[in-house]
Amino acid sequence: MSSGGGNQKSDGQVEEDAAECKFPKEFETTTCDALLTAEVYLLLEHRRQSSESKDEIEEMSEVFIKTLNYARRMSRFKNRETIRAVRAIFSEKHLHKFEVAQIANLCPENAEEAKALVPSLENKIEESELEEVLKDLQSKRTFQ
Amino acid sequence: MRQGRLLAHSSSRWHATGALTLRMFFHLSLDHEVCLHPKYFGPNLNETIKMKLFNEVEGTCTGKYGFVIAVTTIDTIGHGLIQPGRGFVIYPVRYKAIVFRPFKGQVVDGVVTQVNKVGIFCDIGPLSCFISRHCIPPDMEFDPNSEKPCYKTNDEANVIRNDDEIRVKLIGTRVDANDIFAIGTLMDDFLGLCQAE
Repeated sequence: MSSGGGNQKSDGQVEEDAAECKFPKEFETTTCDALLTAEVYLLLEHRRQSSESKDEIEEMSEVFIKTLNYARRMSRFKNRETIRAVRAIFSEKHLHKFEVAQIANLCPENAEEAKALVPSLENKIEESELEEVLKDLQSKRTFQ
Repeated sequence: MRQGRLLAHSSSRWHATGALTLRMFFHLSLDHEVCLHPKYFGPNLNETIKMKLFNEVEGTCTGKYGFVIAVTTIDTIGHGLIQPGRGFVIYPVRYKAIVFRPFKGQVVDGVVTQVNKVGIFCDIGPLSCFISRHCIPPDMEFDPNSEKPCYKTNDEANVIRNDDEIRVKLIGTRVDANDIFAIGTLMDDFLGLCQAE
């Protein structure tokens, strides 16, 4: 894989780089949310039910069905209240929304694992604080 | 033409990226132009525009935004513009949708769909991902003789078969006109089989 190319592209676009938490501007705006898999599951399931109740014969696209099955299998938080509680854990931490989603989706067991899976967390959050967040997440998962 | 443009786009965009850790699902505001035949100009115009938007964008895939999975809300339907000489009208529509965009360097969970001697195939939602033999830890051997083909360590402490959940790091993506294909690796800390709950 070539690693050439500077930070500034020829067309003036800033190169995306997660180590510095830089992303394409389409994904940086306030209108863009990074979703948890659990939220995706709730949204898609709602959509499926509403189109079923309307007796729409039109079939769901393959992409939709695959994603729904994936989200159902991988979603770690099963209901709205838990998701809200999870979001609340992160609300006063100064983390990027992408990092929040990534942590909540992967549910790492300890701070070391979290920093290996999400390298941009390095130097951003104290080990002990991160450890506490992860412990909170675990308990939310266990008692849902 | 379209494919060529997308391919060029993807390589310029994703080639030099370092370790990216974006989550792949986003809720995003997008624009689309709906082109309508004059026969639809009647009482159900808005409904028709919505249906056409759903049909045209859901399930599509572009290099910039990834897979558009489902439209959640329609924000505005702008004023239609009549096309000279054709009678068709183009409506600019702004909508929000759930999109799925994989990034290089991102760690994701996938479901194994196929295991063979060249490697492992897994699905991450709509995305299929290939993990080459060379990106599977060398202490894991392919075993074609077991009941289900699998990769396993000598002591059988670690076995990957069909339908298992594995944690993969994406090392590259290829964007076609309407599909994205990814390659991944298991050779890093904390990757591989997901612990059973």
